[in-house]
Amino acid sequence: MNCSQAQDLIYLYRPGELTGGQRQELENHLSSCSACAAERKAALGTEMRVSAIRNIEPRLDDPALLSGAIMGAITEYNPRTGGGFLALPAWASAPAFRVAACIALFILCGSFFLQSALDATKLSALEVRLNTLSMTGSAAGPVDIRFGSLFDPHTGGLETLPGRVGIGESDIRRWRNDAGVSGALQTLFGRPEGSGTTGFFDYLSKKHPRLASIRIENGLDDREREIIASEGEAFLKEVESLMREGGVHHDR
Amino acid sequence: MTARRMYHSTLMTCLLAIWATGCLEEHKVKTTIRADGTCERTITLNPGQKEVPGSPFPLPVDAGWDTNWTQSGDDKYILTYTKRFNNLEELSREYAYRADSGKIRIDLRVRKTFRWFYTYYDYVESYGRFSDYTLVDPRAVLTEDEIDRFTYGDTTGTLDNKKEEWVVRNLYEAIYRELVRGAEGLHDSLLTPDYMAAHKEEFFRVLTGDAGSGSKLRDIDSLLREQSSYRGTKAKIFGENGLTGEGLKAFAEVAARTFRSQAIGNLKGSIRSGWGAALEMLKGRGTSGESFAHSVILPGILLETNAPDVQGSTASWKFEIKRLQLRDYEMRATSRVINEWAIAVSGVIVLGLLVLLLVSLVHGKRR
Repeated sequence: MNCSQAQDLIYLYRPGELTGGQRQELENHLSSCSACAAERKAALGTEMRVSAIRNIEPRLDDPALLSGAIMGAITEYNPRTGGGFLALPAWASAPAFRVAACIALFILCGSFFLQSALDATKLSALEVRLNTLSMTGSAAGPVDIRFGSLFDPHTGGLETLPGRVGIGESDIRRWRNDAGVSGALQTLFGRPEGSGTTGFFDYLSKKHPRLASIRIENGLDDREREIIASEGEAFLKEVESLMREGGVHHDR
Repeated sequence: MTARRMYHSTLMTCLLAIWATGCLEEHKVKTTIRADGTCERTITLNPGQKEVPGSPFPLPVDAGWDTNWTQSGDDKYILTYTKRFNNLEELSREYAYRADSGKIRIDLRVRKTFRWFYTYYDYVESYGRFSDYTLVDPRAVLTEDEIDRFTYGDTTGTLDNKKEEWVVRNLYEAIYRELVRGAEGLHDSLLTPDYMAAHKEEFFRVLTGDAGSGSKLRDIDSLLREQSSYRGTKAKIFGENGLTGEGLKAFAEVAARTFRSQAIGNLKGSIRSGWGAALEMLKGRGTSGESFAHSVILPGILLETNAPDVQGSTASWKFEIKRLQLRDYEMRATSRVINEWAIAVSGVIVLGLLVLLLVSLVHGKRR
């Protein structure tokens, strides 16, 4: 056995650690090598000191002081929480909290704006209705045209006008909101069954006999298109202005 | 003159007199609903004399209402009923009883709905259908749309004519039923119920001048005269009590020609009682001249209503009792009150969440 091999085995020179052959070889080498013998002596000393420490009972005069010192040190050196003005609880830094906060903000702001938008729509519908009523005459207004009388949204008579006669859609929308104008248009162009005519409609029919002869429900032929193109716009403007004036009176 | 009046002017002179001098009273009903839930309702009438009028409107009878008479001029009095309610439920319960059949049925519901940022007040009050014309369904003559339009004040001539046709069909139904009942008693081989039914519509057209749907009805006085042996005479067809003797003969002649049976001439008693029933119907519920001016003041801003008149947060309706003949008259309004405290709390929450998010993000970057 040489010194290098002996160095590996010196720290295992304890009962039960080495085989009988290894132990014999090591003892032979230590008896002939002073350096390795000295190494073995130092190792033995260390083992004895460790054994002595194992026998000492641990003793702490003030345990609270120790834990306080430890926690203080942790807080002082924790880069996530830090200290001072921007101190945050640990949960506030969690991604789940951020997501939840965003959802809460979205719900709060969204419900406010959605609710306000819906209410604004209702409010504007009410204003349109009241404006229409004031334009076509209130309770004291001309009775024949007060509710536009004959306009029926299901017949689609008015709806078919823009594409066929080239009247701007915005005009149609505007007039659609005016029940009186719509009623007049419907009567003249749509002629719903059993509608009859009042003095108001008679007046318009007399003034625009060519227009009044058109039956839109049967489709338009070239002659009718020509009549609408030449007289339609003027007629609609006249209807609008008549409605604003409060309709046609029988003595007119 | 409306078609109704034209028709009836010769139909029943006496009834016209009733209409002309009848009660044309306006009932003013004002309901105030406050944000704290308390409400107040005031009903005002101008009965003229210091006497509670016999109105189809269900006037308050319980002691919870303050009754006040004020003199507005010489022998002119104003009657005011006022009641305060502690909450909306109390107001809603006020009319939650089964009304007398001679009175208008009122249904009043006010609901408060809390929606965090806003509180909504929904007010719905309806006056039930009030009419004795119950023999013919209005839908037999008018469409749902036309019924709605008439109820909410459409006064178009065509619509009025159609509504008038419905009234006359009711009157005719009363007469026709008596005729059928009388014919059953005759045991005539021709005048069977089926035979009568087959000629029912034809007889109606004869009596109304074969007017098309929506057209003005012709004067029955002249129609009976023209189609009977009284043509060209000055015989009085209608008197104060309905058909005169000549009128009865004229009617029987026209009926006999339409039903192609002289046996109808033996049904004069049925004809007379039929006209009597029609007369009763003409004088019945919903034919007087009352009108209603109804207003409701809701807290906050008015969002939706079917009222024709809106001033600020006051919605007003004005209608005559005849508008209740076809269907219920419903008054609706919805208002919104902003919950300022809820907006403040939400603002604080939003601000807090934003700060937390910001700080959290800043820390995340530092790591």
